[in-house]
Amino acid sequence: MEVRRIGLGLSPPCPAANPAALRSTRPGFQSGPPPAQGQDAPPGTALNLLRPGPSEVAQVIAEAFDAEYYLGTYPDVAAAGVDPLQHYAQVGAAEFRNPTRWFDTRDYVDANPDVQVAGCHPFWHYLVQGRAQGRPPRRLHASQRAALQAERAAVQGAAQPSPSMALLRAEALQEALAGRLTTAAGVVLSLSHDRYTRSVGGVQILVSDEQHAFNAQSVAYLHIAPATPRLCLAPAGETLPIFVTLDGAYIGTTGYADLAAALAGLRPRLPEFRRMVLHCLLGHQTGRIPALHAALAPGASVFWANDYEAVCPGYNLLRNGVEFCGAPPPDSMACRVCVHGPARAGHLLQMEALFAAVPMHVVAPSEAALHIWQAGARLPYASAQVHEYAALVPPACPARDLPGPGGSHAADLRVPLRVAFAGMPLVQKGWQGFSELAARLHGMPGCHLFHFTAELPDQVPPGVEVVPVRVSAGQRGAMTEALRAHGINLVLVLSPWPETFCLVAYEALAAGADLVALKDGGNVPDLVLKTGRGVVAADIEAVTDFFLSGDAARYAALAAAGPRPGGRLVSRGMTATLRLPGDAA
Amino acid sequence: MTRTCCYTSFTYSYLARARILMQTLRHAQPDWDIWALVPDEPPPGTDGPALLAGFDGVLGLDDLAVPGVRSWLFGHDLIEACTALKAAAMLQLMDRGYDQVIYLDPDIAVFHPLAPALDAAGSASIVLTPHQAAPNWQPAVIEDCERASLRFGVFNMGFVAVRADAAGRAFASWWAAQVHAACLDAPDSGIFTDQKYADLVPCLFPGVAVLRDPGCNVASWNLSARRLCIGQDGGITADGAPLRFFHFSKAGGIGDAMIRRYAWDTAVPLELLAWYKDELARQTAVAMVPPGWWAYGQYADGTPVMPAARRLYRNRPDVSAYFPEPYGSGSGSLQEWLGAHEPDCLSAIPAATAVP
Repeated sequence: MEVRRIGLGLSPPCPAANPAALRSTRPGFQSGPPPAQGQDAPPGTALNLLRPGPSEVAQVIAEAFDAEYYLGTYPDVAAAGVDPLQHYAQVGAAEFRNPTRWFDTRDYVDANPDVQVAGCHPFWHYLVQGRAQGRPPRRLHASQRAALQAERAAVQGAAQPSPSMALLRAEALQEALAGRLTTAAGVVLSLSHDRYTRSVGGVQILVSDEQHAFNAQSVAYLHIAPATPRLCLAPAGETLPIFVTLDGAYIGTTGYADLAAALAGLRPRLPEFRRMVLHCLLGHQTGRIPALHAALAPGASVFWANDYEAVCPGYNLLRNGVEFCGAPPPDSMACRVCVHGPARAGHLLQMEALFAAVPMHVVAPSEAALHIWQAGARLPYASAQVHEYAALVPPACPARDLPGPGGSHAADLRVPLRVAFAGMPLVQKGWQGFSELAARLHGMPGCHLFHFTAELPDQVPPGVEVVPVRVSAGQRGAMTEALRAHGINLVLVLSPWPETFCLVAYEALAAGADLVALKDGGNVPDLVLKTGRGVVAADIEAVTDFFLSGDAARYAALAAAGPRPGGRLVSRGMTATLRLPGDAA
Repeated sequence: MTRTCCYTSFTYSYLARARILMQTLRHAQPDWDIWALVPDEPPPGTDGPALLAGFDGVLGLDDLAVPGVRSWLFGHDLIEACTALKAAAMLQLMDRGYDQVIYLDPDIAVFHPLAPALDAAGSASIVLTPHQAAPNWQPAVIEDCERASLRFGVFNMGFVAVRADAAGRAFASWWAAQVHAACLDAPDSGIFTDQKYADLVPCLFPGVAVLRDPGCNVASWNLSARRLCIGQDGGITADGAPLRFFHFSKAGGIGDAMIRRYAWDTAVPLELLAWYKDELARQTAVAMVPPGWWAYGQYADGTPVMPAARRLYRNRPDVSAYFPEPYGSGSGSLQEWLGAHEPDCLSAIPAATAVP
């Protein structure tokens, strides 16, 4: 047995949840009469209130209501030409709109079910009673809660079924590949999670770089990707279709066994330099890779540690999408409660089998990535090394004495802050943290927020200017140019996981901007420390303090007073510039 | 070697929760026997023993030393019934040779071993966990926590551990007698099922330990003062101590809002809740029990037993004596008699059997 709170919780060992009480957990607050005491009534604190009408609500909240924020955040209200205060008092709160940047209506209702059940207007309640009772106007780490939901939805969603398509059999495939593979100076078989020629993203750009670097050496670049995208390894069993691309040109769809047979048939005529490169195994049937390896018989095989998929199916090592987990043992409690936990043991068995069958040279794009990979993966490998994706030319300027979070500085120079989030609006890229920060900074004088992106987010945070940028094979410097053109002085790279490289951080430096990173951000805080270009914060709250305290403005002023460093980002050719034991001359 | 048994009390509609408890407890304490107290009958068309697979033993109504248990049960709703029989089961398990008997509510999940916490209680005969082990200072939180404890019990009887020694047996016997006489949801009368009685236990019996380990019995009613963390070593802690067990009271219902409310600035309680609800959905799919099922929540014709009928039966010895088999329908049944003489008893809000 346990404590019962009136209406909030008799908590019996047996089912006793009251359907009426359950209703109170639904979004929105109710407008009906408060429930009777002793049945489903909330704690007495809320019921002590008389429920006011809209006019009284408007009168009470008027002083704290931020009309400018409201109209800026909700353009539909502005377009309707209605009074923002009356709108929020009458309908806006019920739609979970926010009256100021410091009060979150949904958070408040969520955290205070008694207010919801009593049908009180949440902002009115906060001002009249909640504030004095110590109820917070918004919850910290709201972004983590959003990420928790998003991660579960992504992992628990079913893979899209494979499209029905005609498969190239071994003979046809062999014929299609023979001309190029048998006349090239070498052959690379590369695996990643999608057709890198059809989408633009970090991995796709790097694979494309690698293809061109190998092609420049007259080496043929054969790439395979699963026809069905997955956020996990594909199940064993019947062979699944894979897309085949040669030197960037789509060849067709086949199966692993057919590709292995084609390569085995061609092998006597293949050049001596042969290599297999595993970039990303999501969606692949790892049990079929050793057969490909045997058919190609490469001199060296590379496992590219672009992320931590060798450690966990949650390849960003974000437990439940919320927090860097540190790759604890698979039987740990952390894994047990993580959405990736149930699959991890089987995933690791598949990885172990692959690494046992194929001697791997592990290549990581940063020291941070290699360190975590080696500590977490516990897999046998032939060698391990760091090889950066790209380098800044000229190298980033040395450190300057600039204020960081919590610093104390005499300088009080102020320049307009032009702050950007660059790239896709993804949880793993720190989008939730940026959204949270943007809400806090909205309306802050002298601070202009931007989002440089090819893909518009579902909801643009208030006050954020969206700048369309599409990085493509032909416009690889597009992000750098856009950041530079807009005079961005700080780029927020708030990735909550240890980034293995993070191209956008280098693009920011190349544009002359400095970085704001989180301490668990892997290569990003390392880059800040290495170059002295930016600040490293413990968490989003510390980043917020950095801005609200004025330190960010002082930082930007001092940075602007010095030389404005910049440069170009030059690809290092991925594995095309690596010589590995076993490679033919 | 000490023989330890842990048991829980539930009806089949709570089987999914009980299975989560059983499985998590088994993982944390593989050396303990796990028993189920089931004051219920399996739903028609189901295989009762198969539903309870995984438990080392099962106690049904006929296994308890409670005279006329079925007719006595009629005077209680589901919550009262499940709680009222815990003490009798505790005595029964001591009689079966266990040296240490532990009760856990079925909506608890175990994360780290319990034995170290019990070891810390030394040779105590009776171990209790308080709802709160640290004070709150905000009025709204005090209303939710301290005031609720004063009204519904200082100790949370979702956990109680006893040794099969003189003090432990004396407590279990006394507790069984109290709840047999009155195990009601009647806080205005100073009774709250089996729980409020425990306020007296430290005064009435020797060898009582109050377990203030912050990792024990973490729940929405003490989250306000316990910070949950998940470390990079993979362990889960509450205020720095291993999280031993979390009480997911009313998960999926109003309990969700309470956990969200007191999660404060960390997502960890919400991560645990999300995990628990996933497990609950999985186990519910496995259990295949009709929602709200309780064999003793209805008459033979399937009509729900109303709270008013239970109250009347409990308070009218003449009626209970005349109808020793109160669940029947048709001619000569209590149901027929109520229809003729106390029709309100057949038309009120159903007893607590309408479970989501």
